[in-house]
Amino acid sequence: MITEIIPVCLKNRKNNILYGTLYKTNSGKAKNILVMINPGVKGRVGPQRLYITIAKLVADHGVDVLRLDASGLGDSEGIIEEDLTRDFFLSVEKGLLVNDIEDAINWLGRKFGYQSFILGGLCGGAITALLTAFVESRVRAVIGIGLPVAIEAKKSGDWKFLISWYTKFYRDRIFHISFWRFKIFEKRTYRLLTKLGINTLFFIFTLFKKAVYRSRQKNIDAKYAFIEERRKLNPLFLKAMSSVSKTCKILIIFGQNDKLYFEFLEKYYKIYRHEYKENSENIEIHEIKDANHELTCMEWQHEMRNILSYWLENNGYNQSEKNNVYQYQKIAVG
Amino acid sequence: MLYKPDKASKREGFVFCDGFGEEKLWSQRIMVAFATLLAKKGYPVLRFDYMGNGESEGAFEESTLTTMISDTRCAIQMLLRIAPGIQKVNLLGLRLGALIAALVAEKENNIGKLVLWAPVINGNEYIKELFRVNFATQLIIYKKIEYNSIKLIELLKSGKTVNVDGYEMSYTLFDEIRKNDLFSIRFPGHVSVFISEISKTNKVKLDAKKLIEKNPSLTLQIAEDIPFWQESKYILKTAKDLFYITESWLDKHDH
Repeated sequence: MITEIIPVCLKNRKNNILYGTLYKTNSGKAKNILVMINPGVKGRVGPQRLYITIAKLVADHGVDVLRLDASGLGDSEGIIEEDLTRDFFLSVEKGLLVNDIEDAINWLGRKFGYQSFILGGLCGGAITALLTAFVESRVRAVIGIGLPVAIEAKKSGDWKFLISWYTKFYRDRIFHISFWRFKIFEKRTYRLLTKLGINTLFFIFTLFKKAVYRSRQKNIDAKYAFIEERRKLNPLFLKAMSSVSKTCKILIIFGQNDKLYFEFLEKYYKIYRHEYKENSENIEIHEIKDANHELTCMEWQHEMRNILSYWLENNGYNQSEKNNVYQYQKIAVG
Repeated sequence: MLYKPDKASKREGFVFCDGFGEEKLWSQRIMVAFATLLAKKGYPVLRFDYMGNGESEGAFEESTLTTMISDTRCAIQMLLRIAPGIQKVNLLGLRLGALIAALVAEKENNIGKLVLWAPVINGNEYIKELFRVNFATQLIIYKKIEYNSIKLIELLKSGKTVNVDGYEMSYTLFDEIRKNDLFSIRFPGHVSVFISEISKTNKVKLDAKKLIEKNPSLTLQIAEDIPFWQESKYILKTAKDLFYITESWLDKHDH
């Protein structure tokens, strides 16, 4: 049961004030706390107040919760250095927010005596949770919704993946007239077509330039040099997943229509299945039928709550009186 | 969130009225940046969440334009109580928040200035925008549009809610938004009003032009900035032009 919801603030190592909302419960047992990390560039409330839904559910299971804004996000001080969103996402996938979460963990331990931590989040919050668990031994569990495992496909030039994703996405939709009616009146369609036209012209010009001047291929931009070439998988994710899954419980939830789920299956699960199976008692992966990345619909959020509730109870995070009799089957992936 | 100036030099404070749904999340950093800027100039600023929105209690389905107006009034009273020395409260509204701010200013006595950023001028047109967002969600779930506008309205009238970008809109909220617009508002004579259209292309919308023709005492300016209440490929830390023209107008009308 939630006893208090209090606004908190702490200073990170760069002296920026980070704001958060702390949910205290009357659990009275060994102090566990879930720290929720920003999804992408959004604040600690999360898209459609998803983080509030999760925080209340977890607190009902007797686990305190801190929803935190990392520096430069939400209400917190600090400035994000990147100018483009995709560059910011890349930085997050490389661990940009890990320091702030470590600082928050240290502060929570000092001020409130918390001893064990669960980290969780959506998208950028999910990968940050995993990367922080890799370096912080007090983390006992990770909850990742829509976990990104690869560097953004467009920037890394993974056209094979993009073509297979868009084929899958549009395959079922192209036969419905309402889909085309919607697309014709959508401004974004014309922007994309214009961009496609410009990109095509640029591509033809580049070919011409190469043919005429026989110029060598430009060096790969240094910031992408660390990409694992064959599959564009984030090597930091690979390392973290391999290590964290040996010692922590990991819950991963994807929407069935989430491109990141498709990426997870194609680039990680199918190739590293052996590694997943070695630690499978610690890892649970669930898909929510028809759901998108942010679990926009109430039915999807309801399903997510059921999954999370059952996982919490199964893993000893249940101080609530009522037993959740929700029965579900772990999705057989692949 | 209350932004208290180090040295309170102004006799006016600000209450911010946020946009609807995800527009509030996308625009958060810009609103934080402007609140910080105003506090440095000596204005106390209160940013708050309507019932059922953001950090506030309550379910979103139960929030309506009426509750948002009431919450804004409460925020005004709160600021007058906790910020000593201020005599007037200015309202700054973004998008639907601008319409709410205008509706509040029409009836409240202690409003000094009204700053409307990219206001929703015509509620009915805004509802059409929100329905398009619902259609996009339907395409994801059903792979086609199963419920068109007429069917969505029937659903609302039958007591169900309609999902708009993850927020469950009730019939009351829908009806109140579509029935309200800035054209029908009688701006009080003692309230100075500043409207800023925000557009990269420096074009004024037809509705905004008509509004100014009807109310010549209002000030309209265009800020050449990226609309920051939507998803963008840029990390928007500030809206330079918007901040500059708003600040200039505030300085000019400083009592």
